Amino acid sequence: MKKRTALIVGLAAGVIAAAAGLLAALGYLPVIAAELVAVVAFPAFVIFIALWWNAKSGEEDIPFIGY
Amino acid sequence: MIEYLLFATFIGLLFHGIHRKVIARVQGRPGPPIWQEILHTLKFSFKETWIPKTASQTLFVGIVFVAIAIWSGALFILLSGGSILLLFAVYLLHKIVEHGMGLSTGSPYTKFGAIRSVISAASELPLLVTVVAIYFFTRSLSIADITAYQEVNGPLLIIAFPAAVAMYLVILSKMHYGPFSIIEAKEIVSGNMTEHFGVWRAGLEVAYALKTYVLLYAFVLIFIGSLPLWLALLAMLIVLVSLSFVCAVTPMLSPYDTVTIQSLVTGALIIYIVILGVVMG
Amino acid sequence: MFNLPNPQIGGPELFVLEFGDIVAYFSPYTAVLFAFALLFTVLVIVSRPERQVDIAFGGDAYYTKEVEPDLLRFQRFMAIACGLATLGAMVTGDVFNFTLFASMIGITNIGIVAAYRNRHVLNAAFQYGIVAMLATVPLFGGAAIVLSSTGTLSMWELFTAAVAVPLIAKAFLVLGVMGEGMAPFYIAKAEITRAQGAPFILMVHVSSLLLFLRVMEIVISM
Repeated sequence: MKKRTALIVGLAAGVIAAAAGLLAALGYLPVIAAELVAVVAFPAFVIFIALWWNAKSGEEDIPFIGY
Repeated sequence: MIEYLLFATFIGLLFHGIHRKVIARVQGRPGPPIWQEILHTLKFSFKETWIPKTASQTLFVGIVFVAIAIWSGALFILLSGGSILLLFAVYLLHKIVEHGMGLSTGSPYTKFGAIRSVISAASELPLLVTVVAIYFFTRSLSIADITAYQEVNGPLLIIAFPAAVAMYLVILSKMHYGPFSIIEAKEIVSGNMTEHFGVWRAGLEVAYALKTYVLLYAFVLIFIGSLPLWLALLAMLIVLVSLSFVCAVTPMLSPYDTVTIQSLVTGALIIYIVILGVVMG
Repeated sequence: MFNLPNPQIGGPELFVLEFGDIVAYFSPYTAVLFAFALLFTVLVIVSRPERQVDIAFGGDAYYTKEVEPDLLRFQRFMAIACGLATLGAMVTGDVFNFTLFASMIGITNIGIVAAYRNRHVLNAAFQYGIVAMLATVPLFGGAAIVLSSTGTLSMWELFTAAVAVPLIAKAFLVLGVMGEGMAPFYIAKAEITRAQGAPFILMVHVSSLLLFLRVMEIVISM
């Protein structure tokens, strides 16, 4: 997976979960629906954000792997 | 919604850190700083990550998502005053997660962790007994009704003390470094978590933090009643520290003894239920 | 028209599907169980088994086992059937249908375990098969007692306070489901140290636990 894809998926999941929470708070969405969205989106948010920040950008030095 | 989850993750990780610190102090060691588990999770998330070649790839990755999702769901069940039967269901689904995590890699260590997870199925039964005992008193399984009952009749901790002991044992059997945590014993490396490294392990740490938060919060909510947040956190901390003392002074039991003790406790509680059934009709 | 008589146990009904007098339904509780069963059925369909690593004791050597395609196909078929039976057991609103799905889960579990050609594994599958067969007696017996003592098998009737289900019927149902759901113990005894097929073997676990959770709800509600 590309670094960029991971960022997009992670951010999208985070934004969707936050938006669902906001909509539920404003009364546009039933609370149970917002909770369902958060349950599905939160794992994706955690995993993909972590995958994004540990992905290599492709410009690192070759690590020392012994003589 | 996501802010609750982030808060619970953060507090859960902090609780894990406090747990380690208390264990260390009881055993006369300085111990790590209490934010160690937060750093730990961040550290894992920065490590290089891939999927082992022998693993069942979809299951290997999918199980981490499931682990986080079920405990997020459990947190919302608590917050919205849902049914404790549903909470019990999530707790049993966690068993499937442990099992799937161990099986999916192909490593013998994780498989042994998974087998130990299966044979210690007795660790779930005390929770079921708790559910039934509470039903005897409140005639409802919804958390909202249970807290309402406690406002009228006083905390269930006093009314149904054996049920509280059972749930305490359930939480204890899921704590790290506890007497019953045979599935992650060091003689099988890290048990069923052995092959989940890097981001996958960070995800699992998040799930376990949520699990600790949810179980402690459920204990406070079910047996003490609904409290303001800071007081609830304080009560959870007290329960946690008492658990840490137990973990610090008991060695890890052998799998056989673990199952024996859990079954004995379950048996004792079933007798309690029968007595309750006879006395209360 | 349909109102679940006791929403304080698994929550109010969310969705009702009527097949004549057999009425399937979702409450929040069964909906969660259904979603979980569906998730793992999908995982079974899309994932490939792991390649198990075995250590040769007494040395540093280890080797990975090869997965036979025939074995894989059969186990996957059985696991999907098991998933479908679990889905059925989660949504059904009829005690007899529930027992039917439970016994079907037992049969498919035997299939998943017995697929692997290894003496210890087949022994375990045989023993589990006997237990599962024995368990059908209390399982269907429980449903029969429910029918004969109350005149109905519909959970919509049985869950109301007016209908009293004898304790022996509840005990028989739980006993039957415990027998059908014993599979994970037999697997722990022999299978998973020797055989591969993680997603399929996991299905045994998923079905047994979900069956157990569902029967708890039914027995507490009745």
